Amino acid sequence: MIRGLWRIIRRDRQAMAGFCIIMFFLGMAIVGSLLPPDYYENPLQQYQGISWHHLLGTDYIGRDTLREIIAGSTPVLIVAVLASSISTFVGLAIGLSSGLVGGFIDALIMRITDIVLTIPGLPLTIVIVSFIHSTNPVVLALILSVTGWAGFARSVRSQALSIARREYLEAAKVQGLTFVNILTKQLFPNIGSYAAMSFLLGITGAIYAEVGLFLLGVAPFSGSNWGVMLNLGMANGAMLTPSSAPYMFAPMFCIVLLQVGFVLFTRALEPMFNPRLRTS
Amino acid sequence: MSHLSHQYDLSVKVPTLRNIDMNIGTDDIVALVGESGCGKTTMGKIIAGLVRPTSGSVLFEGQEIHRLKGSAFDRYRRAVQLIHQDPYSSLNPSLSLFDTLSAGILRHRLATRREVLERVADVLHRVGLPNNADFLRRYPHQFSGGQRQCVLIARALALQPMLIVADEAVSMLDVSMRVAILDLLLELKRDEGLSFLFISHDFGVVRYFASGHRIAVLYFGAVVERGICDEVIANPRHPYTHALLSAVPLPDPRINRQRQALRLKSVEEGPKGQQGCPFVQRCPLSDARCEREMPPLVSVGEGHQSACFYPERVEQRLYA
Repeated sequence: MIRGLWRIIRRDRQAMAGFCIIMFFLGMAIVGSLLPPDYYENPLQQYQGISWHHLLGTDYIGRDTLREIIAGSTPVLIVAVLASSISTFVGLAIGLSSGLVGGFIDALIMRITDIVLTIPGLPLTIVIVSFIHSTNPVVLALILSVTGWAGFARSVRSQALSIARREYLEAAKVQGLTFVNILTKQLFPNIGSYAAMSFLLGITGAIYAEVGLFLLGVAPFSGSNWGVMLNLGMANGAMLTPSSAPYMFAPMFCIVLLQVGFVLFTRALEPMFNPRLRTS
Repeated sequence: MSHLSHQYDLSVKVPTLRNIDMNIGTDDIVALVGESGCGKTTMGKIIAGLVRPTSGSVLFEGQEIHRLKGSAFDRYRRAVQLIHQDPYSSLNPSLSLFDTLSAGILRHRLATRREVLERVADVLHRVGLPNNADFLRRYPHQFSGGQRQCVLIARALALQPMLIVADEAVSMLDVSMRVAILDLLLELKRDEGLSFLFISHDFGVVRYFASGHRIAVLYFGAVVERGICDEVIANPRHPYTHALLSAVPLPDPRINRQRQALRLKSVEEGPKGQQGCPFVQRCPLSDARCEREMPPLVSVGEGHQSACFYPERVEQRLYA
């Protein structure tokens, strides 16, 4: 499957573009984690424009924006990927199992899922974040995925249901294949593309959510990340002067670009999981 | 040793199957014939453990299959395999041929990961399919209907079962392949004592395969006639069997003309209710008694039974 993926990416320009963008940000995050914190503060150089010295200008305290962006990419991506992974995994496990088992247990699980689904996500997240004061990215990821898994679980379960009655699953049962095997090897590949897409788009959703939280100032933070940049910028007069434009737009642009990258890349996923769509 | 015997089965409001008793031993063939919708596939699925009968029991080696646990259940699962009727929906489109075939083998530990490739190649070879690496990587949508059916057969054979429920297993194959596959299955029966529940609506195939063994004719869920295959085909003793057989055209026009077919009443619906013979609506030989009482299976010859009150009225000797 992975080999097939590379072939598919190579053929599809948009998928390739998406892939490159993602790799670019991934690289940025890796570099960002290696950068030492920047203590060079010179208030006199506040909100300088783009120049050769500071490629994206400076922030409200004179630090180089570009460096902030790079350093800030790491926590953002870590939390987002973690949150999406948790949501996707939990959603898959619950949806697939529920759909496969059927009956009373399925109905019970779906009732619970529905209840979780009706809880408004962002307000709940804000509430939880306001009394759990932890800067640990894992904790934040967990909080973000508290309601995220429900919608995904529901749709996975409908897909599982429609597949579960198909004859090849009957054949699998006759062969005596185990529940886990049926779940992972028989059922999952048929939902794989949907799951992968949800995972990637879930990352973008999580980025928005966490940046939103930091922007609003409800989430505790340490160091800097894209959302924090926007928050501190606004708190320090960025809205009062047009010269803060590079500083404010830089994280926004990054977020949007990253999302475009993910969306383009997901085009490659459908043929990867569904052999019929491959043009080999 | 007897593998399976059912006492009665009924499912759903309108009974899909009624009161069937059957016994299949090692090295045995039971052919099941009947028109579409008569319950043959359901019966196959019940034997394979996919459907729980609403009443009655299915026994494997003397034990009720749905009560088996753990390794005993695993043994049952391995011992009874099903060849599906529809080769298009019974193969997982996301799995390659190798994945599909190796799954069961690995599950029942019939080969290690290193040996399984050989086993798969072996079974493919036996059903007459290529077994090179390229072919094994193919997906179901790349196969023809006949190839798919052979894959289903290979999948069933791969687990070295004791009983195979073959539901229209050769219907999509061309005639030369059919004979080859049927011969292969017969060979396996001889060499390994494999048994079959051979479901079909094609009498020609049934006669070739089940010659010398038992046949049961099903009509709307009830066994209306059973006996030794050649005897039942030559000398049907139930109006339905007679009608079915006379509908099979024979190549020799002289013999065709000589046959006397039973004329059925044209009513198409199924049985009226739970009482009486299910065939009463269409049977030209029926009378009031047939509408009231369900005829039991009575002996009409050696090892030959018919569920009719008037088996003697059925024309003697269909084939001169």
